[in-house]
Amino acid sequence: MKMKAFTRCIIVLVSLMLLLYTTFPFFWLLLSSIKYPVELYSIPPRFFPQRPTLNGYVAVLRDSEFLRSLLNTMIISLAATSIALAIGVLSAYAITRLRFRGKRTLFLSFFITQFIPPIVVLIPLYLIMQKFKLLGSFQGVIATQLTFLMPYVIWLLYGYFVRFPYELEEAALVDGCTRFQALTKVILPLSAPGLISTSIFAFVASWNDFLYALVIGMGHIKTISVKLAEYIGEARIVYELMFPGAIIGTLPVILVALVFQRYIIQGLAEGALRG
Amino acid sequence: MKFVICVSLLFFSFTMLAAETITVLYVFDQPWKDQAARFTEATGIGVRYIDAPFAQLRQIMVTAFAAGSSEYDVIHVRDDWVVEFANNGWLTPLDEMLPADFWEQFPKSAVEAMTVNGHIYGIPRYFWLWQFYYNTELLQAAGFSNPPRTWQEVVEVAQAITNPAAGIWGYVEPWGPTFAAVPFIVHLRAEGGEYWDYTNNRPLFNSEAGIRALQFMVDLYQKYKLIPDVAFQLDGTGPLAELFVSGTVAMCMNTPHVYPMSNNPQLSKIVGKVGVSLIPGSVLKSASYCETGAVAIPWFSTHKQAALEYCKFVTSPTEQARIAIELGRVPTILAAATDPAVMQKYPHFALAFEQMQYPARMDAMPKATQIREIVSAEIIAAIKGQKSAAQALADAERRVLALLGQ
Repeated sequence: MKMKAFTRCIIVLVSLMLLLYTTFPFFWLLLSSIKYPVELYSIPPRFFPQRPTLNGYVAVLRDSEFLRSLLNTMIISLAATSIALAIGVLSAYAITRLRFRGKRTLFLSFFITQFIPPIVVLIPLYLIMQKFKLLGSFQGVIATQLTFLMPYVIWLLYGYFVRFPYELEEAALVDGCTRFQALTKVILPLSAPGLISTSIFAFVASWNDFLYALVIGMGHIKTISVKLAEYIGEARIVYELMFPGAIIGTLPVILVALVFQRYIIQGLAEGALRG
Repeated sequence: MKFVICVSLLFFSFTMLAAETITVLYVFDQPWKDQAARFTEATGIGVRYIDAPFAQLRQIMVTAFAAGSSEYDVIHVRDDWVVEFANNGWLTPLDEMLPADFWEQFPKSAVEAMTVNGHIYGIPRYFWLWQFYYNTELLQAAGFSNPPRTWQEVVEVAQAITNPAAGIWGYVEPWGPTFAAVPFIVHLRAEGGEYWDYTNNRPLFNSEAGIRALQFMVDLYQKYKLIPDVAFQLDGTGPLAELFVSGTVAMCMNTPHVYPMSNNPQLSKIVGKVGVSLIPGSVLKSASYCETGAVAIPWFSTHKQAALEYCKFVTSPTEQARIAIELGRVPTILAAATDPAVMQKYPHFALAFEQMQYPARMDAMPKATQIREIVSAEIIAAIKGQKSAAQALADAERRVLALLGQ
């Protein structure tokens, strides 16, 4: 009994340490965002602010370009995630259920694309966007983001679909459903946790994209990550705006994660078992 | 009849120019955007101003030019970018578009910084020059009324001030993993050496002067114990400026923004206590390091004439003085730097042109970034006592030559 309590104690302790380790940078960012710059530079650094201030938050929220970048990011992330999911579901289903020549190669090629650094394909993508006059547009940024979101989504959904009991789908087909109806009426509703967790991962990946938003967005379509990078000036880093900006820029993602946390955990667990 | 045709042609070309819109790529600071608006007001030529983070400017331009994009008509370049871009055929030679006497208003070194293979590719618009900044209060408390003039004097002053227990350091240099080569360049020049042979594209730092310069840096850390370990984390002048304005560092070499930053109560604990002087010397009276910011026209631009008008406008003495006041950039034209309003706000600019009399060129050879990383790594190894100064420079030279395939 004592041994069990001791083990439990160790687990709790290790978990707390891990929690502290992972959340400390964010906590530090939060504290820094309410410090005056003069305090940010103090040596040795102070943990808690001596005179907390919300000046940075006020300045950032009054900056119409910052708010615009937040809206841009939301539009791009929602659109890119929706498109990636819509195409990804059909692709993952086709790879899982249909028989066709080159299926394995196709799946592997999706998988391999995830190992290609984005910078490698940047110039070809720039050329394509230039050709289609999509530089500096929402469509251009969304289309380029799909190049890394799609393989990611297909790969994740494949993990869910491949272990989905075929009998359920077969029953639907016997009852007169088409393949598409079986997918939309049987498989997808039962895969909700997987779909939601995949959507969230795709949404976060899109939200955090910097390179494509920077180069393809061409300053016209500025996302939050590009806007935050602007605070790193030639002369100095404007911490007093960058830190509050980073906190505000992270909030939507945190909110999404909090609202759907049940699905994320469930989806991850199922994906881990199935994948 | 001829007169009518000439007038019509002139009117037509003026209308064409006036109806044009050029695309300018630079950073988001409002004064640059305001400048673009003033240009439109003055000339009627429209400006589509595209802003990007400074740290990513090069990435954006390289991608666009590698794709042959004609998207940008005016870009910002600095010494090392101009070498890279001109060698790739991405820039328009401006010496062919402007008369020879146009260039005479700029210091020779600034024009040289923009010259590649005999052609000038950029019009200098500001200097990002290293000067010597000191905390007058800390120096006076230690019994020094004047800043040091030689590196040996720096050691003496720093020894009197340094108090690690109190977290006060007499002198600090940025020795970050990709930046240690830069203060080394200044020491090397002070010892009478040079970093690079630009004619033959070969390193020159492995010399007697180089060994003396590096040994001095080693001594600062090992013998005199003047430099804190945090110096190895300072990968640029920005983080060092933050230490300086926090009042924990008495002296440092840094860029022009340190003066307004030091006197800004929102940012600094040393308001009214900052002094600026020539960087101390050794064999030479002084030496420095200077980045030249310039405007250039991409080869692919389809509005070259209008772009040239923009370049001329923003580099004019009036505009340079205005930007100097608003953003603290050192003008590249003496008349702008000595403008009374500029002098009143930034008295340290008075010394900038004197500082420029001494060697100050930025390392801007092809593969400058990789070379700086190699040299920095070897310098840090020497400072930390992992190898001798002579061995570190010999190793750096060997690695750099291998990188260049020589």
